[in-house]
Amino acid sequence: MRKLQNKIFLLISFFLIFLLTGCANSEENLENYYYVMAIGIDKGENTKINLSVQIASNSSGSQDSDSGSSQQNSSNIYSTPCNSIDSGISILNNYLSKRINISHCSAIIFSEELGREGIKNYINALGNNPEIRPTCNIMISSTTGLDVLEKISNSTEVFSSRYYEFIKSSTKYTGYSVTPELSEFFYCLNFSKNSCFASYITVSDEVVQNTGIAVFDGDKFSGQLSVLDSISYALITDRLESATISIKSPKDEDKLIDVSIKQAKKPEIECKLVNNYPFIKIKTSLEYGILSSTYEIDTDSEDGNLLLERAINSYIQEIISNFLYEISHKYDADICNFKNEILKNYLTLEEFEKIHWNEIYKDSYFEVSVDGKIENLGMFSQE
Amino acid sequence: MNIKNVFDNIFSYNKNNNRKFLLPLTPNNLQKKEEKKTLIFDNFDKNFEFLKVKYNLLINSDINTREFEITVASKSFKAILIFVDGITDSQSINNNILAPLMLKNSIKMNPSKSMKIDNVKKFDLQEFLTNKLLSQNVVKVSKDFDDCFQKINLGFTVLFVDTLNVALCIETKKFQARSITTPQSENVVRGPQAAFIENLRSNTAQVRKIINNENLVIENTNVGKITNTNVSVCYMKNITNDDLVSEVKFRLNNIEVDGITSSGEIENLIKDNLLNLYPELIATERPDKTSSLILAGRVAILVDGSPFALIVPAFMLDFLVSPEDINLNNVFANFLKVIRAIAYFLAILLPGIYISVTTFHDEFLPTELLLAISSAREKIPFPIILEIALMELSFELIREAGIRVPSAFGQTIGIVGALILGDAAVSANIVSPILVIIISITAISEFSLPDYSFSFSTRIFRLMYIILGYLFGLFGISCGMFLHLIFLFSYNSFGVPFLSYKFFKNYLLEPIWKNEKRSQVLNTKRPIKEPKVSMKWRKNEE
Amino acid sequence: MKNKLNIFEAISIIIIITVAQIILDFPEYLVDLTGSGTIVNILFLAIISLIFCIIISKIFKNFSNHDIIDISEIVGGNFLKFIISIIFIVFLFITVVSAILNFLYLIRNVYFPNSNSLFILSIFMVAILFTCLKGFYPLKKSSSLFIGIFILSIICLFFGDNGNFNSNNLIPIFGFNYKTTFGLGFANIFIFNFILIYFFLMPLISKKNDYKKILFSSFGINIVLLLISIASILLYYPAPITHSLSKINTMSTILLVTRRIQISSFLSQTDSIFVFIWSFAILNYISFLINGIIYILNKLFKYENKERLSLPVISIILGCVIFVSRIITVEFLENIIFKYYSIILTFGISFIILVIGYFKNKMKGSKNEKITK
Repeated sequence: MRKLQNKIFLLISFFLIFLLTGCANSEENLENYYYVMAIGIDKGENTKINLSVQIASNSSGSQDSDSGSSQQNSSNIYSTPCNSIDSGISILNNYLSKRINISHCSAIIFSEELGREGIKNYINALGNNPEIRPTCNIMISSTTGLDVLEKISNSTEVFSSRYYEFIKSSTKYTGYSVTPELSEFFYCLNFSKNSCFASYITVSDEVVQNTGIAVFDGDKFSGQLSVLDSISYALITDRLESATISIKSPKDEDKLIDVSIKQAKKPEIECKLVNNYPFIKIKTSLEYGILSSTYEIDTDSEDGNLLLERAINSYIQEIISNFLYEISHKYDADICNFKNEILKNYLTLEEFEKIHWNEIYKDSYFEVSVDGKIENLGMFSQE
Repeated sequence: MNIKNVFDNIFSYNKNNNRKFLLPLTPNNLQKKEEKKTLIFDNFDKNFEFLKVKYNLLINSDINTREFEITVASKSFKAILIFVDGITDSQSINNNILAPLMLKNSIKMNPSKSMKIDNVKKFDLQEFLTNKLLSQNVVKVSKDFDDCFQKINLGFTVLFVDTLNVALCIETKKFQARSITTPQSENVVRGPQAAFIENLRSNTAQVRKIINNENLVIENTNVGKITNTNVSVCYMKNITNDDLVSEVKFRLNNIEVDGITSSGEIENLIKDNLLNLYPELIATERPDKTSSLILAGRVAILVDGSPFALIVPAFMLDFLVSPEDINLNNVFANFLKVIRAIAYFLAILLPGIYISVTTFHDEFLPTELLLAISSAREKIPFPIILEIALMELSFELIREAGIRVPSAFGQTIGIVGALILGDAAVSANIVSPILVIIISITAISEFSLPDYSFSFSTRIFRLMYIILGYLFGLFGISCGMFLHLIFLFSYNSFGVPFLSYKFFKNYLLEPIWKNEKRSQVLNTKRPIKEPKVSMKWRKNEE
Repeated sequence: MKNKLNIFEAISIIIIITVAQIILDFPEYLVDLTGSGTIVNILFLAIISLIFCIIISKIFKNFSNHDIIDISEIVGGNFLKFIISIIFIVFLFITVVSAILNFLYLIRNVYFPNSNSLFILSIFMVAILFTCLKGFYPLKKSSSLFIGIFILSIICLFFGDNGNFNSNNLIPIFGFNYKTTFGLGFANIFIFNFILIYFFLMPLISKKNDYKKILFSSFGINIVLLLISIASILLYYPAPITHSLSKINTMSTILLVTRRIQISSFLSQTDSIFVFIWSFAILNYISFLINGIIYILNKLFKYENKERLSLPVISIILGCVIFVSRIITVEFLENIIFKYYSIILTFGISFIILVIGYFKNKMKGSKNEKITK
């Protein structure tokens, strides 16, 4: 019996030593943290950057009130000038009552101004941080990050932590923007010179819009692409679930027809070198649905429909090739990762490196063919 | 080897080879010398004196004696009846023992013809008494006092007659036992509703009623030097492994304690691993469960005075089996079994996982849930470990109080404890509502485990996992689980591994017509339970 | 008989070695060296190792009750036996120490940045100590119980992150160039160090006929697991990056892969579940290695109660762990010493002794035949 008592005593004292000597970190519990939803990084006036964080306010404030659902969606924004992200967080920790935790951060917003100077340092600091999620999104905003965060926290109709989740999923069915993740960006930045991109945010009277793609040259923001470009990008990289575009009616130039686009098949991309220049063939198969009833469809003849189909096809072909020439000739940005496509032709990396892709990509030639069919004529158009 | 000695000196530890309850510590112990059996004297006075001393007749109130004289063949013999009041039937003593011995003889003053013939031969008083006079069903002859005393304690009436060096033990048992009731702790919806009671014979009768076979052996031994408690070992002679039976009997016969008052003590005295918090014997109060396990090739131990049968060997997963399972469709039964397995894991792990996730793995939680927990925790003044300890403690108190209070107030304790206290604690910001949810889920899970002592063990393990989760997060919990598993695998219950992956395979029930084999682990004499086609009626006769 | 392995237990123990090495981020070393050509490289090396295994299984037919240490006694007497045992013990010590430190840093950096590493080490060592004191029987049972979950967790690496994978990352299929893939990449053969256990398996299994079955099935499953883990790393990173993975990732690569796995948007970061499962695998692995040390020591000294040896062995290991405890040393231990030590041991020393033992045995046999004739 002694033996048993001794063993139990040893066991208890073993745990007590750990419990009482402060080896266990009682400060780590989650009520001691502020959880950051988004980080905004702007160019500072005297310091290098101005770091702002959006913190989901923990206080539900509804303990006393009867309705449990009246949880306040408020979020607080704190901002500080600093020289790096980590030092900024320590400065914020210094004057906030709780510790800042970025493990739930879902967006990092850089200002355009800072983006033009290069963001490699900040991305590398974040990429090696074990706390942050590799799936958090990178954004470039036309105004300051602080401004965007304020607008979002004031105007959103949903709980702000959900907001970033929703914009991520909304790009799938609008195609208006992209949602590059931190890890993707981090590896692109470090290893391929010009394939980085981020989503581009504009702020116009109280509304934050996530429209377009920000293109980088190295780690420097070099320009922004439009919504149509973004749709083309999604079409090429097979990321689009559906999108809506308006085209001019082939019969009547003044009328516009709304068409919904869906990907029917995975796009076929073929890259090869012709005369030491990249020749890239892209074939997409699409399904169209007519949304507006302004266009009268000839039920008698097939021609009218075919006419419309051809018009849409050529329009999409045009925007895709515009997009491709823009990114390659104007920005020299390989955001569609054609590099990987052309790698298929080579068995080893060494052979591939001989062609100096980064130099010849600028002069690539594209051939886009769009094979689309109208699958859905809409509700009222049959009459 | 030199190196060996060095290691040995530094790190050796004494292996405990002693059996725990073996050694009597003090020199003036009771069971020092084996007492010789005292034979019954043929002198009446001597016998009476001996009884007086042994039974402390002057001060012992429930031992009754009745002195009288038997007149046989015009000779008078002094005689004495001795019995224990309360466990004997005084009516049958009066009518079937005293009346024939005293009255009939006095009437029959003139010996009959046959008597004369007997007289001519050698007159045998003992035979005359048993064959002619005592009209009771069981009359046993014993030659020594120890045997007599045991019989007396079992409810026999013992008759000492002058000139006889034997005593006649006449059965007059009548226990004031409670009648067979429904089980208290193992209720089922479908299935028999009878439970064991404190009376050993009626318990064995219940088992024998279910297993209607001559191969059911119910062996008796005595445990406890002073109490001499009757313990029955029940098994199927043609099924159960002989080694298992002899091991059980060996252990029961080698318990050196003064007294046994209930089956729980036996359980702790014969279990293999002293550090194992899990029960290693199944304790059940249901005759049907006992019988089905005996049929499966196990051994049941019934203890007099205890309404629980002990069944060996037990495997860990037996404690997740409810007696209801075999009465249900196997799909329903398996559903319940899966639910119980989940309940077991929830009962031991949930608070530990909660504390570790909130302390170390906050990135694991969905953001909204995290913020909900965080805002609930914000106003609580205590650190989370104290909060959880507080809740656990108050929950244990409520439960303990609920058992103590009279059943009329039982409801009140539940309401006061669970509703008022819980609600007040939450609104006073002493505990967070999420923790209340966690603790109540844990409690519900614990109550859904069918075995009492098994669910008791989950409380201890829960505490350990709470500490591990608080100190080391999920990593600590997984270290704890690993160690837990290693210990479970290292345990044996009566030569059978307590946990083995074969059991996991057999955990879910097959339909009853597919249940062809007995468990291989038990190594039974009759491995096949039923033929391949057990539903004979389905096949056309050829 | 209780400690003999049946076929399933033997296979699961061998698989756990590879699973643990995958968890300890060994695929990162492979991918670091040969880049996107790793799959071809591993397939190539697997064929070579398979030939090795066939030879081993052929030779061990003649030694139905011997392991490599007994054979070394046949070859070179007690002296060689002692030397070989020491070589194996040192190897196991290095493996154990580096594995403990590696895993410790892996979980400490991510989950316990504010805790003392000794503190985390303590619970780890306590668990291992009790496991070893309980002997080999519960260990083999627990490993065979969990093996399915371990395999599932590795497969989940591959299928869990399906949406984010880019199949183009697998190309170019021959890596940087042919020279690295087939020449320099030969060093990758160290990942087949589980072959070492085949040299010890024969006396441990209950049915000698199963040896061949155990050998080939465990070999096959191990290869599949390795390829899956390598493919999930490769698919995650663009091709040029894979050639210098360890330069940019400060964290374990395999852990980074798990961090991307999302179970809907509800559980968006599931790596702690993986670490939870993998702790079992690592505990199993380390306890198994320590049992190996005890087994060899017991062969040398014929100790009466061998579970007692675990206390001194574990204290020495604990001492080594505390003494080393620098992340750069751990990298060195694993990437250089363990790598080449295991190659030399598996494909060099053990094999040579086995072959010599075989011929010696054969000559003896032919002599005996002559005598009988």
